[in-house]
Amino acid sequence: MFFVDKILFAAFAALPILILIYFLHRKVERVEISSLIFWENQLKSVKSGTGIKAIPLPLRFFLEALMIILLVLAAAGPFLVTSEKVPALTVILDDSFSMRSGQPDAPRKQAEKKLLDMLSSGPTRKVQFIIAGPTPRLLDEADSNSGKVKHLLEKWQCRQASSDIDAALLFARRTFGNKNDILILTDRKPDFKELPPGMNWFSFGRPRQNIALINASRSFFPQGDKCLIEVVNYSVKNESIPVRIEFPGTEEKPVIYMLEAASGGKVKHIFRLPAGAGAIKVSLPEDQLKYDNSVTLLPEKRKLLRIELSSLNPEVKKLLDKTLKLTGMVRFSKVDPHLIFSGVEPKEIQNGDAWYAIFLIPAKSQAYIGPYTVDRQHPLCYGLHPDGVIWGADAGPLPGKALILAGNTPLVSDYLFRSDRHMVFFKFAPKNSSLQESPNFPAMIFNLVDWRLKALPGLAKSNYRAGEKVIFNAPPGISRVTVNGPDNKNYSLGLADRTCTLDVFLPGDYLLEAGKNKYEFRVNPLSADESDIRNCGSVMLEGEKNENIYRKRFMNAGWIFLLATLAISALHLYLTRRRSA
Amino acid sequence: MNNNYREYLLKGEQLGTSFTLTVPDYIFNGGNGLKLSNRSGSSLDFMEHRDYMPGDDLRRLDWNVYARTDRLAVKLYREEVNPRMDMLIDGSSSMSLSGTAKLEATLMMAAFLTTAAVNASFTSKCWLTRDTVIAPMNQAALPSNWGELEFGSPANPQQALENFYHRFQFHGIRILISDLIWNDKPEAFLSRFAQDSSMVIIIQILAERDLNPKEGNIKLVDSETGEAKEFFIDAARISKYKETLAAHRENWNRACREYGATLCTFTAEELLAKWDVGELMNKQILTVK
Repeated sequence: MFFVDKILFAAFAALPILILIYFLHRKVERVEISSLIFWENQLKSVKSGTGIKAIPLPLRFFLEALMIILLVLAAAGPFLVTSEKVPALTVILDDSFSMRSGQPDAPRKQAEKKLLDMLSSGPTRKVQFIIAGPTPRLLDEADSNSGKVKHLLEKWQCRQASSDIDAALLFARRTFGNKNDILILTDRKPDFKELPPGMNWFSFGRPRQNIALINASRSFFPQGDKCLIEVVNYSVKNESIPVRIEFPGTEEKPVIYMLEAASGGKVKHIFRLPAGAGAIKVSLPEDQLKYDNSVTLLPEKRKLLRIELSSLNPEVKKLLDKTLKLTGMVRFSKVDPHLIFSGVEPKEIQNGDAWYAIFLIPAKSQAYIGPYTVDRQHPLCYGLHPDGVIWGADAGPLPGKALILAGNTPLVSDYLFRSDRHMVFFKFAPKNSSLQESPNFPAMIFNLVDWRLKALPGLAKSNYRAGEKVIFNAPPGISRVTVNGPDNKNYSLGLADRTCTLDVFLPGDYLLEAGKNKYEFRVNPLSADESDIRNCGSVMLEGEKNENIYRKRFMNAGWIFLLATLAISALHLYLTRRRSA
Repeated sequence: MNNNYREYLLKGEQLGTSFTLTVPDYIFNGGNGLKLSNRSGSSLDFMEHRDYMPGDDLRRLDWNVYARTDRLAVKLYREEVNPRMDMLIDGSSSMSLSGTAKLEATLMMAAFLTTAAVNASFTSKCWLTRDTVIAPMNQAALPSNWGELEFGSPANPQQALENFYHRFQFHGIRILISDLIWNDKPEAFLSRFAQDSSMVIIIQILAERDLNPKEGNIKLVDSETGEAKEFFIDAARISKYKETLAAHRENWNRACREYGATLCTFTAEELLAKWDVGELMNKQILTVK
């Protein structure tokens, strides 16, 4: 049995009132008498009862108290679970950090209390918990009256940068079908006004003002890293926001920048750090949502691509030399190069992991003016627009997959060799081409360098946003990596093509171990949408009441209590009349 | 003594001026009496004639009657008596029960009877029970001048009497004013109190509270011992209480009959309100002056 209107238990306050009435009515009165001799016999009298010391309460009192209890229970909406099994309840828990806003009465806390109240007052049933982050995650299931529920709720941390309730709903339906009841606990109001039967949407948010960091990045520069931060003012007035930069672990004094942000506006700030600066902590003053007030930026490690130029046409070599230097991401070296630019197809492939860029100068070239077909999905082709460019090349084939074609003539192709190494072929006759005079040539070379850089072992960067994908390229010979996250748990991951991708949702410091190599990276809670808690709201939206469903599941037991009350009332009346008589 | 209580002594005294205490038929011997008895004696007051009987003093023969009627008749003269009264007032705590009129009624009754006795030329003495029996200050004076009538003794009259080593006046009237609420046999008290008395009058004064206890949850406190007990007093208990009280009074009635004592019972509150002493007159203890 459970009660739907537990708040009416407050009516039990009538019991102390009844007791008070009886107490006052039957209060012991002190009376001085001549002597107790005529009363002493009373204690021994069989007729009067023996040894009565305590003040006896009449049966009527107990009947009246019982009537109050039964009436309150009847009013509180008692329901009995019928023979049909109550369906399981799937609880979708909004895990975004906005659920932490406005401590100590944060939406998460309110939601947990409401859920526990519901489960304790409702029938025993299976409860499944789904954490709704950027991607839904099934926690576990427990009986509604078991202690496991609280244990599972402890895993509801609300530290993620976003929550996709729709994805969680879809996940719930696909996993458990349509028979389960669904309860969504969040801080946002739903976009719709009606819910299907069996679905409840409880939101516990409140519109609050907030100032948040929504972007933070750090770039390597030899003379000192450059940082960019972006702050948003989700309050109703213009604010002067002090941004504090700290240097943990050093004696460097904190630096404070004052940023002026209009109401609802964003403000960016770029600043340079001293050369060799370690991790920095950027923080804002405390407000309703503390979670988005600070980020930590680790130093970015500069990767330089080792380039070898060999057997190249002098004109092409000159072009490449100039273009590659402009990227700032390369250094020329013949020792263990990452990328070899060559004018001929190599007769012998070097060991190691060098890639090749082969610039073939045809003996008899033609000038192609398009139209060009570009494989836009390939990293080499990002931002290329060769239309209007004159491209000198011959009509011969190229090995590998064609990336840029003039009609059916391949001009650039990508040939994969030794499973994970690339050899990119260019047909390029500079004498009858205007390609090198267009932005397409340096863009193509930049893409090539960037592509190769990203394929180098290690992480692309040290600082990520929560929810961003972290791609790790493992050094040769590594088949598994271990990741230790902010929750201090180790996850072992397998590699595919020497690469693994991590979805990092929990902000904090991570350590990735690949063999003997260790890579640190940081995930920061940066999310403009989650930081905007101006539109949070509180609503208890219940699904359409389908009486048939409720009748099948539960039986209103109020009538039992009312009948019992009537019976006791009749007995009370009888006793009262008998006494009067 | 509280001046308020003296007011009641004065009231009793005033009320008693209209009454005289009846002299018993068979008391007092000896001449030089202050009061003419109803019996024949040797005073100068002629009372009646009666036929001569052998053994009568020949000096009392009325020769004039013999001359006229030829019948021997003896002249009888009123006896001259010296009536005495000892009044014992119960000084136990129960007589000054707070919230009742027992003390006031007791004082008024004592003053009333003393005045009535004085009116009847009695030599009266007032006694008060404490641990023993004591005479209050100025007890020979008018009641309104009595002093140190302190109530509140834990001892009941019987216990006080046991510690009393003097004697009341020989062949005097003895009056006890008390609620008679103590837990011994009445005979034990009466045998001692009535010894060498010519008449014993027991005035029982009870409070309304003694007669009709309240219903409800009551913490009863014994005024004499201070002992307290909580009772839920309902109609059944009150009925039982009244039965016990009636039995107690019946014991006293029976004992009084055995010892020739006269028992009169008053309710203090009623007495104060109406001062109805009809029972005393009915039992020929008092007469209107």
